[in-house]
Amino acid sequence: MPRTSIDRRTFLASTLAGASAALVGGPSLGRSGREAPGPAATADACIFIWLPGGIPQTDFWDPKVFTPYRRGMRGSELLGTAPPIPTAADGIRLGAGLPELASVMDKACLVRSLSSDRKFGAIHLRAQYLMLTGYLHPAGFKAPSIGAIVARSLGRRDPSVPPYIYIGRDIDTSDSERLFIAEAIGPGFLGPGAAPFMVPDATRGLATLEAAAGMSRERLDRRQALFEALAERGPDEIAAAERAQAHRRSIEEARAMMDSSVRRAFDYRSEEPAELIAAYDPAIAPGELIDPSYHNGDRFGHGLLLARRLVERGARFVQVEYQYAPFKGFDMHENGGRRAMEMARQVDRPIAQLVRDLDRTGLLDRTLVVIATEFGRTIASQPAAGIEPEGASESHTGEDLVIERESMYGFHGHFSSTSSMVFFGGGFRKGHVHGRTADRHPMIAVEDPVRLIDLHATLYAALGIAPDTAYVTEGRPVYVTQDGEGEPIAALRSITA
Amino acid sequence: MVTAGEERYADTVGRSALRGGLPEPIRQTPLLPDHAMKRPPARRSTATAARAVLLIFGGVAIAATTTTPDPAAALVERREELLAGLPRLAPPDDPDLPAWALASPNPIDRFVARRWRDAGLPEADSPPPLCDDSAFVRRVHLDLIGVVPTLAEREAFLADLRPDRRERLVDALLARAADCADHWTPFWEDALASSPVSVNGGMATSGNWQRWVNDAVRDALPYDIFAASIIDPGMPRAKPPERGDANGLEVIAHFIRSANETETLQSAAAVAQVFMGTAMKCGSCHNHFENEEWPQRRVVAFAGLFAERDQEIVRCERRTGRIIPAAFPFDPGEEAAATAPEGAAARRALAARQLVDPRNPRFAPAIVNRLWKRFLGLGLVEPADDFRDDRPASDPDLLAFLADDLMRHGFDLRRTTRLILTSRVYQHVHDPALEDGFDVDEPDAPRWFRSPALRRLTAEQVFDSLQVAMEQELDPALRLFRSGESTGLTRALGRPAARNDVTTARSEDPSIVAGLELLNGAEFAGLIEWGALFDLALAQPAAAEAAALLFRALLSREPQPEELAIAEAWLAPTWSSGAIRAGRAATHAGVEVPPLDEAIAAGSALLWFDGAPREGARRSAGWETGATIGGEGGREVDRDAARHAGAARDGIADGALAPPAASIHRSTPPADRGGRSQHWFIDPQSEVDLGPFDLVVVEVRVDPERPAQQVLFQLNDGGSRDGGWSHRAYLGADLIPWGRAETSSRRALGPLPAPGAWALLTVPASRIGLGARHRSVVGASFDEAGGRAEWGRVFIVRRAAPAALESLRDLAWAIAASPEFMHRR
Repeated sequence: MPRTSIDRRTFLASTLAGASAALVGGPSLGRSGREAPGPAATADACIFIWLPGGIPQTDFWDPKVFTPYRRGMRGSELLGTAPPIPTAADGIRLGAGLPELASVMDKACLVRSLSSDRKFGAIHLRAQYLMLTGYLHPAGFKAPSIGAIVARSLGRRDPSVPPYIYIGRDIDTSDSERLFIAEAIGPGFLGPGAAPFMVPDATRGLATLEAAAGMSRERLDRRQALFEALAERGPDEIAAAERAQAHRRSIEEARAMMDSSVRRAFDYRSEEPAELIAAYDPAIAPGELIDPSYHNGDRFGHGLLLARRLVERGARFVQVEYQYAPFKGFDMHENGGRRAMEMARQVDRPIAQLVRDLDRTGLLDRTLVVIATEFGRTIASQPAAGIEPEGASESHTGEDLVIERESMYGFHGHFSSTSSMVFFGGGFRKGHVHGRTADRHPMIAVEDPVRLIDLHATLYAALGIAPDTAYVTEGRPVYVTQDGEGEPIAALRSITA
Repeated sequence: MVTAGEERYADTVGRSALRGGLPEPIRQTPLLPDHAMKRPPARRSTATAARAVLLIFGGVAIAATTTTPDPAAALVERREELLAGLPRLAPPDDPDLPAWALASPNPIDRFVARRWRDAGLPEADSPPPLCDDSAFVRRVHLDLIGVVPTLAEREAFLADLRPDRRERLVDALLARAADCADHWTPFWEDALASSPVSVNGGMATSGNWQRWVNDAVRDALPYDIFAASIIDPGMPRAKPPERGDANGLEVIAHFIRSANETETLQSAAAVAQVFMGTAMKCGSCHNHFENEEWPQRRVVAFAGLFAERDQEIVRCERRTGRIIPAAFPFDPGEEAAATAPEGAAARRALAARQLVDPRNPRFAPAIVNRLWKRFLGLGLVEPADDFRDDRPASDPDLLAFLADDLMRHGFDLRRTTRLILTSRVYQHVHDPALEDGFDVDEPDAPRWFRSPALRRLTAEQVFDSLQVAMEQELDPALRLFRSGESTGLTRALGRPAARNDVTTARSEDPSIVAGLELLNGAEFAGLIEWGALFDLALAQPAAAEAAALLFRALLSREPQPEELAIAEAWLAPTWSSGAIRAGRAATHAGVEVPPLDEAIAAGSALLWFDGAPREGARRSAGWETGATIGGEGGREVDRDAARHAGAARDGIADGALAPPAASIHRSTPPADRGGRSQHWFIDPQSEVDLGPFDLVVVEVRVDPERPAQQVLFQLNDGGSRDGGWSHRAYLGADLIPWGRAETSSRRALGPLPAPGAWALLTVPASRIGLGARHRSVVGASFDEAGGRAEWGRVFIVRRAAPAALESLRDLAWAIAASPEFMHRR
């Protein structure tokens, strides 16, 4: 039940002091100073697998009846592009492209009824922003991403490992859509202290963990000694200032990180068995794709392997992305049947291997793995963005859609009404399905619909963060779930506080 | 036919004429026809309107400038009328004030002294010392134009012994209107959520405000007109909204949007935040949690002014059916009660008028508080975005005075800026023990302003200051805010990757990410890899003097003895005079060009361009190859016999032999191009990397029949700025206006060679901004003005860096990454 604003006001009175991170010029404080303890955490770390572009949930997580392509078939007749396959969990079936994930579904909690009644046109960037921050864009303030909130609220798990690490997204770009996304995964008003530690490509290491321009370690350290010597003997009023000291510490920490376990996490090629590394490779080669440019190489899979190694070394929140680009990857607007299969076979084996690895070492008990996308998909001949505000896709039955050629066969429409999300470990139930969707179009949730805000609340609660934790910006509190109203869903978790 | 490039040039001239004596803005000038973009014609009428407004402020009667009602003029007239009826605020004239305050001509000091005295602070009797001139010159440069001073600027100030030298410096910097505007622009881009594109992934943005803001601030548009122009599309200088196509739907990119309830509320909240320092967003969907000033109905009433009609209260996405009449939230007198007019345009005009009304208790105070915070580090009201009735300013009288003073000086922000910067309180030495802070636990704790608050430079200040320190010149085109790139370093220093939402503050927290970028980032290293500063330093016979130069250039001060000892010891082992001479010779005029053929044979030079673009290269129309002018040239010469050598003089080595006829090229002159001609090529296949010590040598010959008055050579770096063409060197008169004079985008290398003889134009790469941040070269352009010339081959001569360079770079890094450089005090 939502709390009343009176409760919030009382709450604020006691917590405003701690929730001041965003006040520029103000002190940087620790996590929200709630007097009451937060919920007991069931997970210490989280690997958030982010597959933007809009996964066709009925090809992946929520398969219906296989209805093969037939020229002239109606959209309403297109229910599934491949036969569903059984999984290790009784009663759970997945799309045929996910045989490896099927083998670990006994460890999964699968939510099939993530529903939205928020009409914003099912636009990718808006939906991604909503999924990653909990706020609809424009929020009116710079909304922090989930990772930034976790970093800000919980801090580091290990002193040498950044609390929010982001793997798989380019940094340097002037493409405006990518820059928008860079803000959506960023710290928002929480500032650089909560910013993601960016690892664009796990297979290439991280340049800033190596001395610049081929500088030897010896020169690097001599240079740093010079820096320290000069800073020591600089003007007293600088040396005495807290801000200046914090700046010096950030350089020291940077140097320390070059020798840290974080740096060594990148050495997976020399430290992991070859066959294990191979298990993080995609199960499909570029040449097997309709368009080889939709292949991500080892970048995504090895990003998951790196994420695992970072969590083993004390990372708090690691997000691994299959890098989004319009009409690429999961953003399929033609040949959807075949492309869904191609994409499934790129991500299936690495994700399953991650789950197996974490399970084998026992880390899965206290590590939450999430698989998310920004919205689902439905039948459409054209992109549905811009149509959905009027509610077309959620009531679209496909009667008037004639599939005249094979490239039209597949789930091409943006569908924010319903999608799926998957959780492994971290105190979530195992081998469990939550919610049910209609077997015919529109395939909206017909049992146990779930709100996104409540899934966010559940994720936060699992990590020990109360959904009404607030941080202040511009003189007002911003809650980690909008208005503090997210309610953790007990039915998803095997252990609850 | 006039080319697009010519039109652009004409357009610039036209604007200049229209602007009537205002300083010509320095703009990026992509200059080759293929890169030229025609500016929309609307700009001219905007410039005219701006001039009208400025004339009004020059004291010309409103009716004289225009016969049609001008909303801007009407606002000014109204402002003056209303102000005449309001009490004029004055500084305290209490004879018991401390003598130093009574002696100060600056009213701010009296307010501050009175507060100190009333609180019994010891500083009332003995005020904190002033910062020294070195600290002042850095402080005021960073605050006004966003960059550290050059060595020459600093020295000129230190040599000025007049008692009013600080006021003079403030005035001199304020007069650099374009540079001041460049420093302000990122703040307003953040505040207006400016985006380079009008549609992003199917969503309308706020539009691109960079140019508009930059022009408006440079022209000192009165602040009330500035704000009104952003809100009211009927203002003469309002920016036309950008229209875009979002998945087949037309969207309008504008700061104020009201397509639905959310947008309308956000427009209201953004106006409140940006222009009134008032946080009302929280009241947009329920009563404000913690500020009773903002019940939801008050917010919704305000939002009604940004919509077509009165708005309904929607409580957390549930409609209530209660329609709230639109009303401005602060009472600006009789008008507040009036019913809002019909229609969005009329309502926005009303919103703008009431916003800038001198009786609005938040409008002028919010901006003077922002100025105070910008210059002193913390606002009189903190947070600067959270003015509220129950939280008085640290000195309410001072805030009210500054607001009143601003309004009575035509809302000219330069007035308030000057007032603050010439006060004693602004000039206090930084003292951590006296520094104020802001703690949300004690929001009402007073701030005394006995010391400025230390603050981190913005990403823009860091980049731009390093550019100035390294090159000893400010190239506006290189300023970070003009770059659309978002990099690991800019993000780590707090520059947003994209401006998705309105924001008026950036966090200054240090982070491990920033630490890594400074320590190991290629970008930071690139910023301090090479520059005129190193050139100067390498010319110093004594290592100590070279070290001192770095301190002066980066920190604007002399090193302390211990620092100097450390830095000198660092440089000394590699500091040999031979290496230094090599370094200096490589980058200064008066270069000795080695015999090119020998250098090519030895591998220390290469023939980069043989006079004919290869197949597949992009090239301008109008190449003539193998041609020659007059009767003298054009003979086949034995290539092996050609010896390029001779006494050097300022960029030219005379006595060169003619290149082979096949290598001679020139522009086909168009019928009428005002005596200017150009031919160019871009060929990624011919990409070559230059080092800072390399020389680019070009064969050129001025036509004896119709001699060019200027020959200009451009190199293309393949980048996006200026279409890659921001590396230019010329001989002769300064006729072609591209880039900025005296910078690497337009470098003068001396007089023209004698007409008729082949000569070598020798361009040190570092003199035209190549060899460090920009290394690669993919094309060249050959230009003349006032006559004709012909061109030959382009050679690159490699020169090794002196051993001292590495230790110099390391010292520069240690200073540039230091907490002192990264902060303003």
